[in-house]
Amino acid sequence: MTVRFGRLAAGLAALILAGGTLLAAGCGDDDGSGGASDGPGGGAELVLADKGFAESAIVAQLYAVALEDQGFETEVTSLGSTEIADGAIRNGEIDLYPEYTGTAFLNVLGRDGASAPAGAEAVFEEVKAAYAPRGLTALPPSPYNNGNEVACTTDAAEEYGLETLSDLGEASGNLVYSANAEHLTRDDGLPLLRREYGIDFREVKTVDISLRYRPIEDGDAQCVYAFGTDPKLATLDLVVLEDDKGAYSAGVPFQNFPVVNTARLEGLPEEAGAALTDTLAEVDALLTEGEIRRLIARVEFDQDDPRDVAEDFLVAQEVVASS
Amino acid sequence: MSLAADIWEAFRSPLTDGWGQTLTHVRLSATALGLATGAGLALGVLCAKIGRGAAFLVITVSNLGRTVPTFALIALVLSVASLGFWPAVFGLFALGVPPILLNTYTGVREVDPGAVEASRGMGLTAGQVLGRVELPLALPLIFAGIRTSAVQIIATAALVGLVGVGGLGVIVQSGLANSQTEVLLAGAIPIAILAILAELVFGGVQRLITPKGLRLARRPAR
Repeated sequence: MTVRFGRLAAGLAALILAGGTLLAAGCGDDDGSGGASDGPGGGAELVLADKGFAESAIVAQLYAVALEDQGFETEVTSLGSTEIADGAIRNGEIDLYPEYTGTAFLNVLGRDGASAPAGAEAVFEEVKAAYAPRGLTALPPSPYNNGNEVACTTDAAEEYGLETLSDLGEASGNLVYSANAEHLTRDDGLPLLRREYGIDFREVKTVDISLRYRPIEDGDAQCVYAFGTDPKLATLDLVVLEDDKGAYSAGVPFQNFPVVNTARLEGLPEEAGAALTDTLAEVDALLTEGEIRRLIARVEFDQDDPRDVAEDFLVAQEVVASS
Repeated sequence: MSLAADIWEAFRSPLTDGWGQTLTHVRLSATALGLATGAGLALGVLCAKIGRGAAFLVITVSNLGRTVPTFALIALVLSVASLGFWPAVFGLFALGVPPILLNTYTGVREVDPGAVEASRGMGLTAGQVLGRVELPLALPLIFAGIRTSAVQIIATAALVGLVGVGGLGVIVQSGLANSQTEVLLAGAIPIAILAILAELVFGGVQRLITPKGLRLARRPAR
């Protein structure tokens, strides 16, 4: 009798423990979600994503904070690359993420840079038109332009007379390059540099995209895959090489713009949908090159959290009320 | 072109540098495995000889190498070292030690005490007992540990591409990021081949080194 009771008690205890754990897990709060349901958003849930590097994370958080202020419930997740983000938004796993017009044009749509229309606005319109049949809505871009660049240390530039990418083509056999894995085989990355400029580095150090300046700082690499808005271009002893053939960014601008899953957008009540597009437009209009560099510097140098940086910026710009 | 031809092209491409990365991968794995074997053997023997309590402590600490994610270990080292080869080796070393240590410890401890007694009776010193009796008898178990570590190290070395050391994992990541299946496979297939080769090679070496008496003892009676 006592033994059976003992077993029963143990079994009951285990059941309660297991049930309690499941309940606790279920009641867990997701990172980044929250915000009042009052506001035109009406508590609609949006899943945002960034592409895994500081600038992308900041823009995604800017969107998230602004949208929460409008009454949406948001969640921000980090994805590994452009291809992954594009796939995820097309099948509805995410609802919104920030993309670049140049990347959309060259990479996602696979178009030839030579065929790009002249002017940033025209490129955006073409992307928008091409995105529509893919179930995606492209909303108006920010003013800042973030192109692909190659930057080398001033020492290396002096030693090998590097001013343009073609100069690099001749000297690259002596140099080490720092980039992320995606860049290696991405069509508008290293393959393009090799094809158009004959660039063939002695060695390529592949690192996580957020670590790409580390080999430069450690002295292990002389050149790096740079973005136009990288604050480290100003603080490290680097010189950006001129794109003499105009092929690297393919002469295509890289403006930040929000991509939204069309079905999700249209599935929102009218008030919420309007609030979504208006809010995003308001946030994007504020992002000039100077502003975005400052925000990125806070994350990369001061190690501030992208969400905090986003909140501070939007409060200062009076887009959201301070909490 | 067939998929196989695409994969081969992707592997040979100077952009992915398949052969170079394979070499790096092997260097990385071999260095980590070599160091792990040395440490695992030494610590394993030590644990077998010292008391149960101290042994437990050493084994628990070493098991951290398996429970703490390898990448976290590497990140820890990165905070004080520059990117590259040695932080990655450290992470893989920590991963590779536990199986070898544990198997050496168990193997030496479980040696037939009769054999040890007999050899002492024959006048062998403690060192000779270890070298000529205990370790050879524990060899099958030790090698099983080395084989396990080898395969785990080769597989995990694919994940350390993010710290600038290279290796086949970089090719896998590039293919993954750009949804290029042929590139992904150009990295993944060689990794699998290396792991299988390691199994075969170590299995073969084990068979060669195992004392004949042990081999006979293990064969089922006819």
